[in-house]
Amino acid sequence: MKDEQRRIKEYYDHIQMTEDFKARLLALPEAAPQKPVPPFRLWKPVAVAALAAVISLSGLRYLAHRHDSTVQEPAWPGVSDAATERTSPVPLRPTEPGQEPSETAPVPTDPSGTDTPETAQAPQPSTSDETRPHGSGTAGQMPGPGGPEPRPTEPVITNPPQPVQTDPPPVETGSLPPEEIDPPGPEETDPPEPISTDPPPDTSPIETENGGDEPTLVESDFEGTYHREGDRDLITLVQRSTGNTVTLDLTGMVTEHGYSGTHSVLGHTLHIYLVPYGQTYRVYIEDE
Amino acid sequence: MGDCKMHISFEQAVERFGPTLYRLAFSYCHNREDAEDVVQEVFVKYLRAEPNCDAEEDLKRWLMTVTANTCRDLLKSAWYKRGRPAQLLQALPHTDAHTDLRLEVDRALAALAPKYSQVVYLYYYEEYSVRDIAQILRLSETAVRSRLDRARKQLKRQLGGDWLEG
Repeated sequence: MKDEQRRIKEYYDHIQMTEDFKARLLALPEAAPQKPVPPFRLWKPVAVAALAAVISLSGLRYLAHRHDSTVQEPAWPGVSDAATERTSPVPLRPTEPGQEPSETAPVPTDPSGTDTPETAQAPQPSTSDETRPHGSGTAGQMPGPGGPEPRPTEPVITNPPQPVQTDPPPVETGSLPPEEIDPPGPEETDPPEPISTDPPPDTSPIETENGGDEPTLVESDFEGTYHREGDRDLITLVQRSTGNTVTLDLTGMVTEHGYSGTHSVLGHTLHIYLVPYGQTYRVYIEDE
Repeated sequence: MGDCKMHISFEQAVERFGPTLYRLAFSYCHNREDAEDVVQEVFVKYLRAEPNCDAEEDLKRWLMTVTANTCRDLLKSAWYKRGRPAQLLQALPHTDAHTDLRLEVDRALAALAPKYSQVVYLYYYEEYSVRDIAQILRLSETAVRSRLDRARKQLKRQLGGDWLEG
């Protein structure tokens, strides 16, 4: 053996375990149980369950996101999200205290409805037929040309018109007298939602304030303004091209969720919608 | 020992193989604390694995392979990489009387890279063949020879003379 190799052996000969360490090693069988369950076998069901939970949660989030995006999509093309948001959470007239606006606020649920001009430009004042005394369809379901369209009313300058002759059952019109429609409750003093104070969407070419009642969104040659005179619900329609003014009396037909109906005004068949806006209504007009 | 054909108690395994495993770990770690940790972990694995061995030498090689793997895992850890340089000078074994040359040899061996010192230990102390070392360390014989050659050159560079020629 070479001297160098002997030196290496000497070097490693001096490397010895201490007695304390040997005692620790001998005590290992008590400290470390034999044949433990492999860690992965223990964690496998937990890991599988956690993975499944993560996957299902991700799927639910994805579905919820899709649903939300579907609901919040603009109801008509060319309208910004702000406009959609403005029309969605419209505050209701507080005839039913405790009723949350979100439950009955019109929410555009069908983005594909933007293809049709009715649903594209007509805000949906209500989702419930039970509270709507007039109109043949629910919110956004404007009567089509071939549908059960109400007979157009003759324009009456100052007298209240009989706007709907076919649709309203007598029970509905009788069940909602004007006193029940607009009771001035303490909630009426609440300011409207800040989102409602935003300027009207891009689809509103003209916004006017007649008598300080509320801004009017018009879609046709007519612009309308809702105002109350006593217990009467009146809409003043102004034809911008001619300046003619027509007042429609909708007393008894306007509910807390608004109103929708078709009227024949100055030779035009107008689809008129009243959408609750704070303590009053916005007027949306479509010229057929 | 389960279905192990060789009957040996845990205490006997510690007595017989503990020093060898400790030196092997020390050749890798160059300090006592890490070597003790490695050996302890190896025996814990031995308790849990209950290796199926036909002979004592087989068990010894199994334990040495586990020791080498455990040392590699230790060296891969970040904390060991950061702390190792400071430990080198403290890694010298405690001997009774070091001559200058002996201390120099110790320093040279301690300064060897772990992959070289382990091969040197197995080859010159345990007197395993290159083939056996390759099996224990799970290396090719060529790699073992290469490491041996580089270790010799490094020792010769530090100590001079005809250190570990061929």
